[in-house]
Amino acid sequence: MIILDRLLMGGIGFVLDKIASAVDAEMNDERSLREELLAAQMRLELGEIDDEEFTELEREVLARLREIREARQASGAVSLEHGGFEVDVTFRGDQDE
Amino acid sequence: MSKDTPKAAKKNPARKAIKPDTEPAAPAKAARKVVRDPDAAGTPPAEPASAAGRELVQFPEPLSRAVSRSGKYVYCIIQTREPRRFGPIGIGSEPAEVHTVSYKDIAAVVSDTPLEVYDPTRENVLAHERVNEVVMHDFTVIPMSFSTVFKTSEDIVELLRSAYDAFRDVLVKMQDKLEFGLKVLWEPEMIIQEIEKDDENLRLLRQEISHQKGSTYFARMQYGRLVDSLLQERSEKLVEEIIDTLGSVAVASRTNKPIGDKMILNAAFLVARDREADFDAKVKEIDARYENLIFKYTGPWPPYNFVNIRLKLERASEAE
Repeated sequence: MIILDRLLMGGIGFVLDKIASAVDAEMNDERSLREELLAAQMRLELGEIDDEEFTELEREVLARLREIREARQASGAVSLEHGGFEVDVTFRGDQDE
Repeated sequence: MSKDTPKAAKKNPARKAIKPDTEPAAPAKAARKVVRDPDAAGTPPAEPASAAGRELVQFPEPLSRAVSRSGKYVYCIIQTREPRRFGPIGIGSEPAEVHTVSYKDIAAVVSDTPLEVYDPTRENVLAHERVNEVVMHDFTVIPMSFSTVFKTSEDIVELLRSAYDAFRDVLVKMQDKLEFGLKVLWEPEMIIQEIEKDDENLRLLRQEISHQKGSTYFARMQYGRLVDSLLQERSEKLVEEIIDTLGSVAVASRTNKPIGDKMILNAAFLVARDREADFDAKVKEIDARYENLIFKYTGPWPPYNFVNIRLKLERASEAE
């Protein structure tokens, strides 16, 4: 059940790029929390931790993710009605960035 | 194991569904389609994308939130001239109807949602992925990442309009292509033993450490460094061989950062639908070739790793 990595990591999807650099730091924190969650999932998959331990780790990480978001007071919903945005959609054929 | 992953998935039921298994004795280390059967208790699917016809699991997690469905959760972008409905399979505790929001001949697949950020719990992530699977059954999709929520349909139309050409272009490139994931892991301890057999310097160092009187600090440092570099060397060689072998039957490949200490490769491959069987055979081949490696093979996925959608909001307040 390793699907989190596709939905959360690995350069996928939809990046909300806010200009303020303070936000970058938060994004980095979020990124490392997500990595932690992935690592826990991998350990669960390998049988190194059991479901209970994973659930505990998951709960911690999710709580910390929520804290970051609450500090930012973002609802997470995107509005484009006032313009001022750029969209960039690209096919990424080969190799790492 | 989590309730989402039936043990049977480890035995590779999906592959049998694709073609009759003519190699009954083959060890099925590579667990293809681990996630494809989150709710099937060992029943092999009739065909790869049969998730569409499967009953949906209602997640029991009670959420006592005032549900005002005023936002739009976006799952993916597809090409269609007609509006489409995919059933009440949306993310959230009370699954909403999944439908399309169109601009010209492209559309976003969405469901109404409260304006909230979804936690990446297994339930939520599976719900997101399941919608994409259902849609993938009939369409080429450009998948959105988890928890992409817009305020209104107009916002989505605006998104589709502003990047219309790019979406069209990517949809054409993704036509009839599937993504497969391959993670390769090893047990470092076991590999070190193997390396020690082959590397005389390392063996001598180890002997020195075990016979030396007094401080072995420097010898141990040296040993550690040598082990690290030999592991690194071996891992790079293996990774290159694996990517070369699979790359020959794939359209493109990408590697992501390995997760944890035991992973040496975390790769995604984009494969043409008509080369799927070839790709499958190659994975089997390398799985058999490298006995000491563990392969985690999953898919088919929407091309998460091969599309990059970047939305840049110029004013920070716009994302609130």
